[in-house]
Amino acid sequence: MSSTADYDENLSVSSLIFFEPGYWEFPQRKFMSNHLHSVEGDLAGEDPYGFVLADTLAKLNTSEEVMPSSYEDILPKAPPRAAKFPLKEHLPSLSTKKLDPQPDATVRKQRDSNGKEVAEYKEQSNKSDWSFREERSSRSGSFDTTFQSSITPTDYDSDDKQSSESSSFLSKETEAQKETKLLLPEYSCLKKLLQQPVVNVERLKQIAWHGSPRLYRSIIWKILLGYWPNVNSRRTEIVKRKREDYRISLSRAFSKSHKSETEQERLIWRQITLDVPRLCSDYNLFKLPALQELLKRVLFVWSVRHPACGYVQGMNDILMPLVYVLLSEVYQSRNDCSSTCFTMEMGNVTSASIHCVEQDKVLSIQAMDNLSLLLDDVEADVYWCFNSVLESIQDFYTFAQPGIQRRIQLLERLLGRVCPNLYDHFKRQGVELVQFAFRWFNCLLIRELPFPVIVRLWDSVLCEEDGFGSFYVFLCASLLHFLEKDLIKMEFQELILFLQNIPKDIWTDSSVEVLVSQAYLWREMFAGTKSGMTDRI
Amino acid sequence: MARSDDEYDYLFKIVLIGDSGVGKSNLLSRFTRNEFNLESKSTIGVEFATKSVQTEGKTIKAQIWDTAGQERYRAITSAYYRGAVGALLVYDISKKESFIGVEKWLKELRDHADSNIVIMLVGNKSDLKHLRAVSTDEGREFAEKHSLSFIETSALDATNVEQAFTQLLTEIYRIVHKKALTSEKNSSFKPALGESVVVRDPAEDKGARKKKCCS
Repeated sequence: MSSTADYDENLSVSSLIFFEPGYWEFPQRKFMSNHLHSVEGDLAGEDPYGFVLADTLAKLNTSEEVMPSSYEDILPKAPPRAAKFPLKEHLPSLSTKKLDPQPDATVRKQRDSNGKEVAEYKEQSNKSDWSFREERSSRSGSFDTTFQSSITPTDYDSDDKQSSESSSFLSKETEAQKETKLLLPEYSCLKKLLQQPVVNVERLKQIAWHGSPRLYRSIIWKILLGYWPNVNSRRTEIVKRKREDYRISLSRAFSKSHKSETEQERLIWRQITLDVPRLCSDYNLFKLPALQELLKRVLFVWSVRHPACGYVQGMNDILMPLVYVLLSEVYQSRNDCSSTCFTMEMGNVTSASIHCVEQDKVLSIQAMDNLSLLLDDVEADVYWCFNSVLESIQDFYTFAQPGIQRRIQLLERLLGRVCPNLYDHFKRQGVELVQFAFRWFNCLLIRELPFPVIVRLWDSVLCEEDGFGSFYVFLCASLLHFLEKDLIKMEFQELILFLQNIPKDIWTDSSVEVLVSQAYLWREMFAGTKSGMTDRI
Repeated sequence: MARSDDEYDYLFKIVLIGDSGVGKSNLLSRFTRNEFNLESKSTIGVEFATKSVQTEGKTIKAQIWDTAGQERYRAITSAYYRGAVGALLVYDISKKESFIGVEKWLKELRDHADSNIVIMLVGNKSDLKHLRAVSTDEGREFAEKHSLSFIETSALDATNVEQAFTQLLTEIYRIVHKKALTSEKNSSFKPALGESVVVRDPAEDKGARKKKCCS
């Protein structure tokens, strides 16, 4: 139990490395996860701590009335966020309520009428309790631009900002004040936090873990991904340098590919042009020709700069959340929206996050006309954010994809520990995890979960140390645990079909909270203790 | 096992292989669900589907593994060749490159699949007549040279899709049936009624079952 100190120490060390200037230019200096790569010690044989926790947790899961204090007893030294999980919405209620009792029928239904399914999902979301999600439209406009003026390196909004600020400064000011009052203390604190000369990244993570407010999401992601330095004064310069760097790479990659392209580059380009149009998203945003060209360029430049990985199908999926989040910031700052687009999630911020993404105008925009001037900068930003997502998981995409194979092994061992019944069921049915989990890791669950859920998940994942390389294993286990009640009744064929097409209408904000909280608890249990269990699960 | 939801006499494992973008996933969705999607997502790793067909009075259940075409996935997809009794090797009649790639896929099968695997060469996208880059004769010649069955299909307008799968499954059935008869004569092996499953679910011991595969 003395490990908490170590854990904290690790976090601070990692954040130092993470935010070191110039870090992004040297992929080979990538931060290796303590949990996955360099864990020493062998407690696998005894491991009383893990078992006790697992037992207690199992008991908790079966009990409907769980008091938060019980969790505090289990994880006395966990960061404060651990105590804030939405325990009232506990697991048993989820699968029974939300899942179709005949999952096979659900799968078929989804296939038969995808459009209908989406409609149903939306309807369901509307039925949920969104009482706090009122249309508090225009006030966020000034809020956003004012905020941007203090921290954004970009100059695109300066004119608009000044005019709008001077014209209705007073009225908007009061609305901003109103908003601040309505915010939870944590979230008004978020605003202050981001305006500090040096952003306290640890504090930021503690807050953002529960879901980023849409207004700040882009900024938070850029900071957490290490693209923006946490020192505000250095931001303009660093971002400018990064964008320039990308532009140079872009012109190099394309001049080369047009003249003396290598065979590998030709194949990469061919594959990218084949895959990007069939991104097949439910959202207009990703169908826009200008955006598709952007995606192609980003993928190509990244692949050329990382020849060991090259381009692997599914990377295009990974770009989607980044493009959406980064574009929505620009869109918000450019458009005087009077709709929910600007809605700052109020009250229980996290509860509204999935719904807000789902409702976001950005996802359904028809043309990029008024954004096209800004797309160059967005493109560079997307590239660097994409780069830092893939940084820690490059071995997912190198020859034979050893990173994925290894994560699947870890997932299997973890499953054997945390869901022994399901693990045995899989064994009996001859289901191998690779048959479905391969895609889970390859596309970071983006194919499996509805897009708004992914955006919300990433809010938390980005706060985790080695979120994509390590935390995702726990997230996948948590997903299986979440579906366990249904999976346990299925046979081989049904299992595979179900796991390759998980119904998308089962997700609500609270179920996602449970998903991510469960992953967090297991991570704390097995990896955070630094007892070497991730390697020995 | 695995006989609770639907009854079948034989269970055959089939793989769908071929270059990226030739229409493997759409062939499968057309066959299993009668669906076609012009913008279907790229396949990652391997995806699974099943369908039962009737042939020569028997119900045959096809367990089809649709593989990703991209080179990088070769390591993972080739693991699925093991135990497969049939393969649909798909190329795009409007893309010469995908036809040239067929050679490479045959080698893949030789390296990783059972040597008795029944292979059918499929020239897909036959609806793209004006863009045709590989003639039917070229396809047929290649198939004859390598003793493969051959068919041209269009997942888009559903031409020959059902036939392609059924023909392959029937071919496998005949081989298996013949072998079962022979082995019945030669040995005491006699499959009990309804147990003549050729390729078991992976739940079963794979190594031990290999002997039962067709020849």
